[in-house]
Amino acid sequence: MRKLEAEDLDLDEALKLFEEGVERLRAAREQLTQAEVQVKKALKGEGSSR
Amino acid sequence: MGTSLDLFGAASSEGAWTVTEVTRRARSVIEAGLPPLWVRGEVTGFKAWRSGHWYFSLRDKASQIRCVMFSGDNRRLPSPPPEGTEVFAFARPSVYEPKGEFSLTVTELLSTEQGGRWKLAFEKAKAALLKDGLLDPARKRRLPPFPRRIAVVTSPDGAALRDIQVVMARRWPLAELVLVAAKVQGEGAEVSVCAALARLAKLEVDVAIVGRGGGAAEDLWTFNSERVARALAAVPMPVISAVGHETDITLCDLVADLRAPTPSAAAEAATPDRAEVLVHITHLGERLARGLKQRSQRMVDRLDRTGDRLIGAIAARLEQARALLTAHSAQLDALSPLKVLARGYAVARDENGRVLKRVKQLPSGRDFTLRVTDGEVDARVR
Repeated sequence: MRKLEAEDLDLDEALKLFEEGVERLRAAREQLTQAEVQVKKALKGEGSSR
Repeated sequence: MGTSLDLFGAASSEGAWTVTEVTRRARSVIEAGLPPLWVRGEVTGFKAWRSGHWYFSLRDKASQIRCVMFSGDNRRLPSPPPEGTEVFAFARPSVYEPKGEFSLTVTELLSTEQGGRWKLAFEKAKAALLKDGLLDPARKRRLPPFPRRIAVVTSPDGAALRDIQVVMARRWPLAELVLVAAKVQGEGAEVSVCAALARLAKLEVDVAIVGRGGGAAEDLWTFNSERVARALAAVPMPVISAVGHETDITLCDLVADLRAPTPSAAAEAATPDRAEVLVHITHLGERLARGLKQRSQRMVDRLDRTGDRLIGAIAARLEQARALLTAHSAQLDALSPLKVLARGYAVARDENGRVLKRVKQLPSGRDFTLRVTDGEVDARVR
């Protein structure tokens, strides 16, 4: 992101970084969603065991 | 030979006497041989019947005689003689035929005005026991709440033993009854009871009952003996006296750790009540369950709170992560180079893909590619 913000960057390089950024965001979002699902599952399991 | 004093000749042809004949003969023998006389003794077992007649016994240390004083004779007296009073009685000895009982018909009663000698002996012994500290209330031991073995000093065939057995079986069947047999009245009773009390020291019992069944007050002599009272005081475990008389207090009663009016009452005092103990245990169980429930409820509450904190923490963490993600994604979007292209800017690159940014990189006739928003085109500098 910081590299992307630097001005003397090739557009091409920028595009590459951008694509990488998008990919990382997607992975992060996926990870977050996964974490949320996991928490929900854990809570449900705890609820039924009582 | 006078017929009224012929003691050995049978009245009937079979050679045997009837009960009535022998009683009548005894009466005539006594009445002839013992004319009316003055008798000195202590009044005991006094009872005035509704008829107005008085019945009591006169006794001394060794013997007693039943007496009757008819209302016509006793009416002249200011009040009935108190129990234990020593009196002079003018009486006619006789045999009361319906019962075959030797008795005195008293016509005159005079107090000796110094109290009964017997009573005096009692007071003397009591004073001696008091002086030795044996009557000190601080000496009284507490009875064990749950005795395992209970010794009973009494006659093996008396009513006292039976009464105690019945009460123990009902109230506390867990306790074992250890009988220490003793002769509780009559000749030799004093020695017998003392020996029995001494034997208690060698027995492993938690509490002892010394008792006898109900009966006339004159039979209490054994339990008024100073010697017996001292033997009782020396017993190492708590002792309950159950001498079986509501009104007379004996020396043993005074020395014992507890005085019970009857053997049954002694057994009740010595044992816990099974039913009560069961109720108590049930209460304890309920309290225990309640305590445990409260305790575990507190733990559940604490766990719930901890759980809430845990969930809260992870939720906050996820929230934070999501916010960061959103922020990054917005930031990334703002910086998107595609946006620049979409606004109409283009990127010129040489055949190696190097970006051509300056005029001198673009001499006339130079081939290059131009990247625009929706693709690339080949181009040449004019």
